[in-house]
Amino acid sequence: MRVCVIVPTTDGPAPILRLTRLAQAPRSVMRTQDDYRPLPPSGRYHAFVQMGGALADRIGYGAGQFELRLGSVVETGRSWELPVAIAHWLQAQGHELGADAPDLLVWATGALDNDLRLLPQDYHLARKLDQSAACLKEALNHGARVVLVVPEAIALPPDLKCPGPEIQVVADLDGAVKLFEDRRHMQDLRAASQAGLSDRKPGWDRGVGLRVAVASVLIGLIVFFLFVVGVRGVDPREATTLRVAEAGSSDIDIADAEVAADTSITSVPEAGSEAAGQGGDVSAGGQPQDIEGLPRLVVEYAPDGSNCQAVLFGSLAPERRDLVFRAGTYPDFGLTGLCSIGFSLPDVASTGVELALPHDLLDLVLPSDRRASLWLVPGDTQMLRLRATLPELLDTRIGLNSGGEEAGALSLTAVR
Amino acid sequence: MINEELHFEAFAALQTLRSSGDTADSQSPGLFASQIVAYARRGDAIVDLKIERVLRSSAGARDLYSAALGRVVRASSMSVAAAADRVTERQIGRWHLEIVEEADGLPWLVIRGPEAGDTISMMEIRRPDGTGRRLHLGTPIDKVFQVPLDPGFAEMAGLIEWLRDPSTEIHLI
Repeated sequence: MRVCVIVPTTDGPAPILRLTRLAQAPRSVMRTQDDYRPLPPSGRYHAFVQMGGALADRIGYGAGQFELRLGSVVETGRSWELPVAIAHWLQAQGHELGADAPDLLVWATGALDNDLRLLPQDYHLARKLDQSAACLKEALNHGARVVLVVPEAIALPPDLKCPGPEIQVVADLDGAVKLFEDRRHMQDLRAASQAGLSDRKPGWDRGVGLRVAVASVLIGLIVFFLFVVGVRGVDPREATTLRVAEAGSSDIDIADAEVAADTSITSVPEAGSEAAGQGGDVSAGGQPQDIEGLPRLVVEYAPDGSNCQAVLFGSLAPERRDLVFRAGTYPDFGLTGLCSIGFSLPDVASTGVELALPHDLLDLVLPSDRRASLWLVPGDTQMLRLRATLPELLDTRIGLNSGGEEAGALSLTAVR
Repeated sequence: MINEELHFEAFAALQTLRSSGDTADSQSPGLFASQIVAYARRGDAIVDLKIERVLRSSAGARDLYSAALGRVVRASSMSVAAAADRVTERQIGRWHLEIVEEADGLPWLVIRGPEAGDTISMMEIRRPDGTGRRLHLGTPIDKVFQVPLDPGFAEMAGLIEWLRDPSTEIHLI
């Protein structure tokens, strides 16, 4: 997993860009990308990470020194110790540290004692958070999971609240490490869940009550979505057949829109709307609406003048677009320069969903990312890296399952 | 710098230049000997290209510069006799200079100092032709200066070759 660890300062965030093992140089050193000279805390950093110290014993990275490269200057203080210790631990677990397009962003602050417990002091959390707000917001907007690891509770600024970062109050390094051990455990569980869903037998069993409840919630969500789209051009009192996607047996038919008539949402059919007075087939011409609760299609392109190789190897950040499911389908998108395709489930979704991926899509995915289904929990994004050669046209449907039940299909179309 | 000292250095330098039949301003009109002295004794690593040109073109100016530099350096290593074409270690006064190379190919300059006493903050390197450069060493880490000789920094371009060349003079300031 690619992780960005931020050392917050009162002047702004200092991301850890690189952590390199030094076998010959006698000292561990902390510096920025822009200056060859060591930062003032380097002496303390050398003592902090050296062999025989508490951190070396806890993580067990063995003998040797380190070069820690930061994105900006850390002048004074010791609150860099917790994020730096987390970065060492994450790297020792095989995660890749870097500031570009992280899957996880860790924002942590705190000085540690010899037992790696956080020292009580004024860490100027509010000011540091204020200075880092833009950076955190950008990471959230790019789909990264953001975790604030702090020694005491902190109030989030209003513009960070939705979708917001997780706040985790810890007392020591072990507490912080446990968060990410648990997170890894959760990912393992999720992977196991995906495997279980894709391999399940017809008689695969679950509690019937739970299945009914989850299916009901999802159907309720879809009814709401269809209504919101449909009411723009449909008389809600008409008996209507609404369609998520024309997917044969997986279509969802809703044959009575009286429920819609009882809601307080008002609609005025717009002139020129294809759906106006046509019986209300949503896919035929509903006006664009943001539909919460359904998976969004995420596509990542190579920036202009570059290629997907540069993106996949991490030297360039992709251009990312989120496409919202509306009017029975995702908006068409281009295949030229397309590097990855994926899905994200908004935080507002009430339950996780499983997406069954069709063969024509899987054929375009790199073998290492190929899997029959994706299991998404609210707030989750999963991406699939694509082969270099893509066809002229991709026109397919993604199966949507919830609670072990087929709940519809999401159609998508891409052209060169 | 004390003005009287500067004046003395400049006067001595002028005497030296006159006896050698060379003048500091022969290549660069308007350049005073006192400017060369002040340049040698400056407390930063800023380069004055005008003076550097003179140092490359005038042996007398180089002598003047070396004399003035000798007043401020903590230790110097003139060209060293080396069994090989390249050196990776030098003892410069009480300091030990070493170039180590990491697995990623990046060389580091490591300067270990005495346990107590003199401190340094800069290093000046001079080639036999008068070409030179001064480098800030930054803050020592537990009494050791450790600088990446990363060619990505303008200050480091070509420095590794100079440091490895036995004919290079190294002054610690």
